[in-house]
Amino acid sequence: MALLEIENMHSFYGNIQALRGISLSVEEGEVVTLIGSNGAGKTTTLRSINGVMRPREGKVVFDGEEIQGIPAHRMISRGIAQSPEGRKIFPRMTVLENLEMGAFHRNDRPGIREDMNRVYDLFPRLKERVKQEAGTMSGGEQQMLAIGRALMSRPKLLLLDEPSTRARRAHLRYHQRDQRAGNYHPARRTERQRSPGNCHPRLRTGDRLHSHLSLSR
Amino acid sequence: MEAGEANKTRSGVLIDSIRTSSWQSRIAVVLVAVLLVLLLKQAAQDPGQFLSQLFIGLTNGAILALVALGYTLVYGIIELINFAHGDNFMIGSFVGLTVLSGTFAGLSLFGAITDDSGTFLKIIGVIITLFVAMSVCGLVNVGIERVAYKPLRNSPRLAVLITAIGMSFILQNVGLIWKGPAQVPFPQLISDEKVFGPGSILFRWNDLFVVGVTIPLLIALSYFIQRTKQGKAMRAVAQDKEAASMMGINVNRTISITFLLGGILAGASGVMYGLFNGITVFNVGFTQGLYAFTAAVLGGIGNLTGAVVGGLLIGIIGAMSDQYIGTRWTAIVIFAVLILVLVFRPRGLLGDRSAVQGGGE
Ligand SMILES: Nc1ncnc2c1ncn2[C@@H]1O[C@H](COP(=O)(O)OP(=O)(O)O)[C@@H](O)[C@H]1O
Ligand SMILES: [Mg+2]
Repeated sequence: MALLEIENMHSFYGNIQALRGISLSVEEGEVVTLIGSNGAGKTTTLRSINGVMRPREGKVVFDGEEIQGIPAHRMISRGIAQSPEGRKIFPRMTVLENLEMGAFHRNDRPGIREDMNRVYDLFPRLKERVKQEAGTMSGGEQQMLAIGRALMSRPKLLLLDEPSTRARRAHLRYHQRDQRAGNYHPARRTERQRSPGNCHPRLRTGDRLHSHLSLSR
Repeated sequence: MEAGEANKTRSGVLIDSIRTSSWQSRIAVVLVAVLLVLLLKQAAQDPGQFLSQLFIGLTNGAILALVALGYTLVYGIIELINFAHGDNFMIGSFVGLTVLSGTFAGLSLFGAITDDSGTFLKIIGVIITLFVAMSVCGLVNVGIERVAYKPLRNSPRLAVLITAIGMSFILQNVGLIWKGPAQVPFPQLISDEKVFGPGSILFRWNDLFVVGVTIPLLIALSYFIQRTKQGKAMRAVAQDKEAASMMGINVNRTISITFLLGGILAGASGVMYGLFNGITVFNVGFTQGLYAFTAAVLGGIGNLTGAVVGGLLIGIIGAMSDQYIGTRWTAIVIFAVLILVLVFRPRGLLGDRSAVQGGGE
């Protein structure tokens, strides 16, 4: 059984249908990349997985349980974390506070410390800026923070929406290193996402790696 | 060395800002300076009267500040001006009156606490009254959010705003049915004798009471928002609801807790208003609410420290105007100050950032 199994998922914004029957599966330890042109529904797919949106039809099975319709705030303790599109960090909190928010649902202080050090290893820039207000950092730095914040929950499934090239490279290095340590077994695979409606029919090659659905462990 | 340089740049900034300032702002600064000089002259003539008036201003200001915090907390988290908040304050004073009377819905539960009760009974009575009014107003506020605002969370702003105004009228009419159209007297439980001070300076027991209730509440609120997990959740929700929910924060519950806090403060304020002024009336929430909202805007809406500063300022300006200009002028003076401040600082005195969202005390 795959870690994440999506079957025939339909999602709507009001009356506008954004997803028409997405099916997708992600194995444990696998890195899956969603590719699609602007408006194809990559963000909507991730939002429908992590509970920000409720799919109108279809099934989302994570870790053996159906999770469609469970509210977003319950997802992180199930092991789904996301670095959202547009780097939605908390602009008026410091870097440290943002990372702490990533571990908001956790109470194991030593574990949180440990994960924070791992994030600092991955993004030394964040360590230099712990006290800086997150909104005043550069776009790339905010992207690192958004990914670091998502990692702070020690997720089973990490959803990355449009990570920048630079941050993505760091992220992949993270996987490779952990693989050597024997914790992670990443593999890679690409899912092409067919555009749902008539408005955005083509999938352009220039749009490769726009969105990133990837996982660890 | 470094500090010296910093100072230099700071005074440089000051000079620059004077150089680039508009003629309006220069006139405003001169105007404020002239008023302050006139005020100081009065103060020098009769310092006792001036200080007594200052204490009255501070006390009124503290009562306003607690209500202003409720406007600012809610605005900070869902960007709604909760027009019903002032009327919840009125409900607080009515609940207080009811508890002190010992009679609810025609049922005499215990003997009324009056001017003639013993000191011990008065103290216990006031504490219980505060507690009950704070709880009721907190729950009323949560209820209003659930029933009237939450279903409209994703509707256009205007829909929620008009709903809030409607809620305000509903509460006002509840008050009208409950206690009638006339002013209702509060028992005078706290002495207006002076506590200390030489000569004619009046710092009275009821001033002390208001300050003594307000300061611990402010400290508790500040601790809650800055230090507790729930407080952090509030700040996160204020900054980005979707990201907050991805962090495992229950956004709806966090919004409810924000309304709860605002209601609790309004309840305490309502009881203190009644005890301090000796009366309350069904539409007291309109005037007090308007002043408190003005205080929140003056301080910078969304900013907690700003709400307190704005409340105290309006209290003091009001008291000074009452004494030295005339009570009829007070509303004019207060709103003139508001307009003046907003012309130069459209986001209010401390309004460049929201304290619910970030810094601030
Ligand atoms: N909040 C929204 N309201 C209405 N339609 C939306 C909303 N967000 C996205 N859409 C529509 O849903 C479709 C998919 O969008 P999205 O998932 O953001 O695409 P992608 O992330 O692949 O660029 C688009 O047609 C977009 O216009
Ligand atoms: Mg997108």
